[in-house]
Amino acid sequence: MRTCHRSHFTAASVLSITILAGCRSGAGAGDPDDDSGGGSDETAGSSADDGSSGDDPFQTSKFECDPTQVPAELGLRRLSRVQYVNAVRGLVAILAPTDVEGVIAQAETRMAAMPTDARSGPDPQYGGLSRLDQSIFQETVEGSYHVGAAIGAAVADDPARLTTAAGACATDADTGNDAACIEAFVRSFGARALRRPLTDDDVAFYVDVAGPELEPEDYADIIAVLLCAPGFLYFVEGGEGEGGEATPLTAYEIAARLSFHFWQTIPDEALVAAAERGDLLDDELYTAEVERLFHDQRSVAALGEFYGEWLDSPHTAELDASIGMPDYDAFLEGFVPSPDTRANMAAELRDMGAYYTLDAPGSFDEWFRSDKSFARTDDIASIYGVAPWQGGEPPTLPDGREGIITRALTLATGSAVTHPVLKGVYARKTLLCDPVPPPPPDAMAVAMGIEDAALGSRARAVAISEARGDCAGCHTGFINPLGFVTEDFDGLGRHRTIEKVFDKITGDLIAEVPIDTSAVLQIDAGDEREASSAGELNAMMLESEKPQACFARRYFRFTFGRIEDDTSDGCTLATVHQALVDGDDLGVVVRDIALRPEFRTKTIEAGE
Amino acid sequence: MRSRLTNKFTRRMFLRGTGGALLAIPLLESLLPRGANAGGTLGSPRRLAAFATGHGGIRSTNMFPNVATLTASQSYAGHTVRRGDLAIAVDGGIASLSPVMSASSSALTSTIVAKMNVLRGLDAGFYTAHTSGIHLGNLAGHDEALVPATQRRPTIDQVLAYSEKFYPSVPLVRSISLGYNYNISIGRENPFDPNSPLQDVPNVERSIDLFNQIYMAPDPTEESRPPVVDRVLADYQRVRNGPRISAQDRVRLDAHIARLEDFLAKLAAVQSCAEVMAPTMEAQSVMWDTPNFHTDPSAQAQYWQLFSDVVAIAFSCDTCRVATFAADALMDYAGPDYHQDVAHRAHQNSPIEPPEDPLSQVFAQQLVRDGHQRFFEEVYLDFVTKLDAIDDGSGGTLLDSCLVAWTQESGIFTHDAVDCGVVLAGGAGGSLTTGNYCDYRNTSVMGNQYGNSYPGPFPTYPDDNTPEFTWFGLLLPQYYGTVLQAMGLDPQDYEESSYGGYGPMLAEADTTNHPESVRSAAHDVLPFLGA
Repeated sequence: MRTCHRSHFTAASVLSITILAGCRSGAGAGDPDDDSGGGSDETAGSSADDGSSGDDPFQTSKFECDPTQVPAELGLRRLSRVQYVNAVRGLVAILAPTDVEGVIAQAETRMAAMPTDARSGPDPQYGGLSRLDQSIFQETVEGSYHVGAAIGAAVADDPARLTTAAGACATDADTGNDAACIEAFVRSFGARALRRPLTDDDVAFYVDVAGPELEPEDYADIIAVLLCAPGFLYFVEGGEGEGGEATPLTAYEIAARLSFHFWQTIPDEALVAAAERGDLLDDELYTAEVERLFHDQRSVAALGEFYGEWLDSPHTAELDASIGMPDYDAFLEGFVPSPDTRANMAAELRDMGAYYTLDAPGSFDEWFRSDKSFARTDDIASIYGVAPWQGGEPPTLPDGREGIITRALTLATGSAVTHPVLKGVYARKTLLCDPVPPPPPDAMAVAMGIEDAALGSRARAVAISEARGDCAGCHTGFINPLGFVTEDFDGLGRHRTIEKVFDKITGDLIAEVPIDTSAVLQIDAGDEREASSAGELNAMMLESEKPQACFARRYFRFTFGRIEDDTSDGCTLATVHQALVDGDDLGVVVRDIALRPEFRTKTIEAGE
Repeated sequence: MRSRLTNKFTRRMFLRGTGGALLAIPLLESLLPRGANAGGTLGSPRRLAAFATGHGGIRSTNMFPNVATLTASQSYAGHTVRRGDLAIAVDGGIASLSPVMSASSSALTSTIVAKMNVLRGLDAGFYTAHTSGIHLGNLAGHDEALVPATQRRPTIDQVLAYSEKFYPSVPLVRSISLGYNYNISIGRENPFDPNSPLQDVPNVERSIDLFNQIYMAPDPTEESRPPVVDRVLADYQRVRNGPRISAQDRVRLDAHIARLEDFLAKLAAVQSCAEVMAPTMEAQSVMWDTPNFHTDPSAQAQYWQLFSDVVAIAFSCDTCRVATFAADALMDYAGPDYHQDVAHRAHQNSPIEPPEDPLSQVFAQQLVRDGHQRFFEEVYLDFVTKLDAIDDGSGGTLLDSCLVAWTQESGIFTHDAVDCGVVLAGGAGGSLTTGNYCDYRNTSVMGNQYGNSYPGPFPTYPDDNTPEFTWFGLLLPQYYGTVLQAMGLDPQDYEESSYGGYGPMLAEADTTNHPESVRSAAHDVLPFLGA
């Protein structure tokens, strides 16, 4: 799905300069200028980084594990859109293994029209995840029906496909075997669609979808109903035993969680078989199965979704949007952004995460301050001055470029200038999970703009931040310094030793401003240390253990599909955080969350 | 054995006319059959179309008709409110109500203007900064820092969409939500459960998908076999009532079941048009295929026109009665950030320093004015004109049974929801009077949400030395209530506060700016508009 990153086209995307009030007590994280996020937050619950609960703008990096605490019930989750589409394809591959695309083509229009998931969370633009969007839309309900009907028709209307899907008994002239044929189909296909063996009641229900005189079209109806079933569209988890706190999931429910978490699709035959054998209820065998899933290349896409959504930079506009502006054209100095340049920048962060997690597992620190390039395309590689990555050992970046904060996506602005304020906001919100307080109501009354452009980006940011006394409190100590440290990279992400300022009308070079990257960072309250390079900033951030805590929060959300609670989810958060701090491989950390009891249990509150 | 439902769809289509240009303009000659009519009279179903634009900050002398035309007044809610007749001035083929509300005199005619209303002097009652909720009654928006989440409400389009008064029978499509980068429509996970969580209503991204919703292409599978939605519903009900479903899970399943039941009911929906040609041009393609779409006002206009074509068909054929458009001014600003560079300085009318700044010789307000003028003419008026071209079968037009609203994110100062303007067209089936320019400001209470820190009056233009202040007036919940009443709802159908109006009364506790008399007036249809 193509997305629009043109920042100026919405009032909700007020991003180029955000003036913030003092970091006052009790302030929320939301930015009044920033209401463009996706789903309604009301469904997202209360998070630890929404800033609504504390007086401190600095997020904690400490989690406490109280084993007596029990996680809240995880409400009935639906498949994300990505998972839904993959699951439909997975089932079509079972029905028509040699003609998947032919069948899918008949449902493609319907599928494309279904709503996308919005990146959601307390502050959707910064670390919002699409898995958290649990909205139930009319269009989803109707769309899934139409997709199911189209898939069913595509199979049932073609005798060859139907024979493959249900056996010769479904298409032969013998009416005597029809009932057994359709029941066998319901049992076999239904088990894959619902991700568990069907009970006799289930079978009777789905067989009854067919009319009294069985026809091939009845298979279409059964497929349609199964592709809309609650057990297909949702994670229906009743667990084993009496219910209540930490109810163990069934082997099949565990298999579904595993498969959709790591692969974003239905369990494969081996996982189904493991569930059938009960292997998933045995710790050792379960661990082996988790290991198998995690190391399968099918987990790359899910990892990419996690890293891509978490690290996306809302202030990076499309890089080709300002082509034709004289100053931008001059600034580019021959670089030609394409409509894909921003997407290529984003792809690098996804690939980078997958590399350190799966391909060549490294520690959190190694990933966070990596000096390797994962730019696969010429445009991004040329920004870095390296050859495109072809897989294998990635090229080493020059010029002291290291870490997430020096990647093209986090530096680029789509204009001829840098945005140190917004780089600071990104570091605070995305990498440290600090809740940045909103600006005061009248902050925008300050005349802001492009005056005094010749000052250069840093001096201009300082001037604007100090234009009002109540802005400086947050900007001077809390936000701006984190953006100043990477001012040795320009608005495209190229390394620079001098800031060139271009005339907006003529494109002429009108000033050359010395670069100053020094800043007192205040990573945490009272921290007065100074840094002047990305390397120093990375080191200080890691030392604070806040990025590791931020990862723990975000990966918790990605895994469990809900906002963490620092108290009741403290054990999971503390374990993940400590493992990252201890230098465990990212791959181990990501894999091991599936080994935790919370992944295999569910608190089930009594129904009516 | 279950009883199979009969597919009652009677749609018949002329598929895929050739050439997207056919679609462009005028729509209805190309898409609707000759002699198409809305199948109704002034007593026919009412429809609501709500257009929204971001930013706001249109100077009042650019946005509103001249205050000198406010020739009548009355005492209302403790202060004097004023009205005048809307009247166009024509000069050189351009008809104008104001600089923004101006268009070709062939489009902005006296006939159209007589069916319009222009309102000003409506306030949120508190600082809103940015909120897409201001347009349709979710004043609390999304920003918990300003208003607690508990104050959020479904938007009024969704109130209508699930109102049995508005839809006595289930329509094919309850509501249409359009926009490509923000939402203005908020509903509930389970729209029939007032305690269900709120969620954004998803925008339809492709105009042809929208057409297929309101005129679903004949599907061979649906034609040959009755749908089995009833079996899907039964499946959910049996799982919902199963032994191992928790209370929370049951609530979620209930939401899905509610939507399935609605879907099932829709299968019996009928439409009044039998012959419609499908559009051959896709709005999303216009956006994607136009280089620099975001600085190309013509392409932006075409994008919205392609969607409004389909909405006009839906209204005409009564397959849907409510649509929202989360739009924006048609901009040609090529800088990186319109809001920052232009909207934030919309109050600046003097040349911008330094001289090399490309805006130095172009007033920000001029960009604001021109972008909104294009929106008015090419999007809003274009849609209004389409509706007015459809005979309703009783001497009137489809527009007469509609209410087409245009609201902005702020009032005349960016970020400040004071003196917000509303442009309306259509009398909502005779529910509202039309042809009014209404000014609800209380010119004895200066409105300046920013306090003394704000520059206050507009600096003067070289060609206009009249400074301008804002003044507090009536409250937006009264406007939302007026719309709901115009659509046939009674106050008791939606009011939750003793003050009336739609939604909670969020006005600041200090009653200086909005006294009790103003708050209590929210029960009423806005002055001068009651038929």
